[in-house]
Amino acid sequence: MPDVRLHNVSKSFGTEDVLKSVSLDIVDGEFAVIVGPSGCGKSTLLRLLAGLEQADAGDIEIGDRRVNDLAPAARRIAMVFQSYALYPHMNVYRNMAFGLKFSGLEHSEIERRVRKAAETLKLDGLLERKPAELSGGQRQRTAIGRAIVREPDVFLFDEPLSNLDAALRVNTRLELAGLHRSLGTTMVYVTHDQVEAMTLADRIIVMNEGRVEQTGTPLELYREPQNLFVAGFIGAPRMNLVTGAAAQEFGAETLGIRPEHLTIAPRAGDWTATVSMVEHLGSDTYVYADAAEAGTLIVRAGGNTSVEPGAAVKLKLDRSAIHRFDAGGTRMT
Amino acid sequence: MQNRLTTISVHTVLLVYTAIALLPMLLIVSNAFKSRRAIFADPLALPGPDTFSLKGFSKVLAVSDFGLYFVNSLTVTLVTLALVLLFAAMAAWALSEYRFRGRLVLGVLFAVGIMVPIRLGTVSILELMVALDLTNTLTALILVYTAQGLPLAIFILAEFIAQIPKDLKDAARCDGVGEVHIFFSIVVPLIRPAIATVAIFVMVPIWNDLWFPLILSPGEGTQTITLGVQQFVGQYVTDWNAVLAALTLAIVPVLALYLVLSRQLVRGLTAGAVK
Ligand SMILES: Nc1ncnc2c1ncn2[C@@H]1O[C@H](COP(=O)(O)OP(=O)(O)OP(=O)(O)O)[C@@H](O)[C@H]1O
Ligand SMILES: [Mg+2]
Repeated sequence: MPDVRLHNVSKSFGTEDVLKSVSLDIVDGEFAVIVGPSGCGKSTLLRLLAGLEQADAGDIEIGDRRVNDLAPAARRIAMVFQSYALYPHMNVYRNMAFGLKFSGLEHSEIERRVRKAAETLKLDGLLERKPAELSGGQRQRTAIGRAIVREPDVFLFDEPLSNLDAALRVNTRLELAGLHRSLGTTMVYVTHDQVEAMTLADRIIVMNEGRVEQTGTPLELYREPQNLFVAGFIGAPRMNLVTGAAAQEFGAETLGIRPEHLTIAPRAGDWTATVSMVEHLGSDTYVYADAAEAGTLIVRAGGNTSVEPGAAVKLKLDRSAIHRFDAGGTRMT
Repeated sequence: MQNRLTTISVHTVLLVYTAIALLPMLLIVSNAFKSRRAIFADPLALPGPDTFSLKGFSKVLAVSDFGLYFVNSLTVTLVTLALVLLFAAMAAWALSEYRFRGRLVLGVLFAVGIMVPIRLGTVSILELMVALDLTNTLTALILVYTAQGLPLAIFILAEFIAQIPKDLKDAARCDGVGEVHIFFSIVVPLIRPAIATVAIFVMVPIWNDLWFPLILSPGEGTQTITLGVQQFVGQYVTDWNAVLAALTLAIVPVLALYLVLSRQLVRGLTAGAVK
């Protein structure tokens, strides 16, 4: 069972502690997505798993093996880099086959695997091309192909879609989900894109400043963020965070309300506010309203909401869906 | 308009420089095809029907062991080139890729090698070669030239190797490619333009050198072209026909090598590697 386990793993570069005693448990076959703000140590975590960096402390296990001291190749992982890292002087076929040549596989087996991966990834006609002659999406697929042909126990992806344009990103995201379904291999996927995290993940790991803040299914994180950081990080538009008297009314230091749990009420409401901006997205309308007690709040209203900036409105909040946090930023039950 | 002016002035400077650099060579080549009298009568004139003469060439080929000198020069240059490029690329890779003890000291040592001319050590080198019984061998020259060429070559190649994206090497490591193969299959192909540049830098001074052949290998069988030409330069009379013809012949191989190598220079090979 190639579970992936990290136990109290720490890593520092010079005086900078990049990972602070991180523990993680990723179950076999899971699609685990690591999210977090830039510089929080996501890539470093992935590189530790891959064996490209050495952990300063702690254990890294893949399956039943402690892999701390194993070379990348011996860990049976495959990594897809944000920059794709294709060998520029080799064509698509050789890019995929190059690593296999050193694994002692039969020539015919190598060819079979490459052809199969090329077919899966729709690279059939492009095998003779050099990376410079490929589009961004094709390079991306070649990089994924190079990982697939190794038939690894674990796939590691470091922001593989961040260099693609929006439309292609959605497509490739769907392809990746399909790939995970058909291969069933454990995947660890780093991104700072919420939508990718929410849509792809079986489980999301939220990191901040070298620590794991919370892990859980996308909906768990969305519905029950364990602390302020996760509350603010997961969900778009962001959760409204209210402090001061308005929060104390609910017995909390900070009160969190998702935009969809606020409604613009015709008459009675909890707060009075002035609309400052309205964004029409078609299906939804985001209304930005300044409330005297609560500051600027975002309200997610229906597609045909017709409030205008400058209007005075009443805001009503769904009391069953509020999130309360204590002074330390931890969720209160 | 401004742009146009800049272009014109840049080209003027370059053209003048090219002319200055090429003129001596043109003089050598054109006079090599003239009779002795014509060389002295009007050195700047091109060979015409009545001044044309191949006497110099026939003399060079008949009188001296020109073929042998040629082979000697070529052997020394090519073997040195191969050694310098191989060792320099490997050292540059080690210095820029691996963090090991003494790395800094080694780097500084090579940098000093660039600054201190190897000829300062001629006496000790000669003593060393005598002790090793290597005088009057091509090996002596190859060893000295390899030492001479390495520092700058390492310096230049290390710069280029440092520019290879880290992800490429990491990708190869994840792929299970060993360090030796990463070097030969990924690093070397990617720095080919740099290797070609270095090859030219290294080759020309070796081919043209008179100093070390004169001191280390002046013997009959091991003379290089530059040394061989000297037999036509007398204390009182110089056989200009022969000297110029020999020099003309000596230009050919360097020119050929340069043409081969320069095709590599302009290519940007990392295109498409990342992003
Ligand atoms: N080789 C290194 N040497 C020194 N510091 C490093 C090194 N690699 C990463 N760091 C530092 O470690 C921290 C975490 O880097 P990391 O690349 O893991 O962040 P990240 O979460 O992947 O960010 P991003 O989303 O921007 O990719 C950063 O502050 C970075 O400066
Ligand atoms: Mg990163």
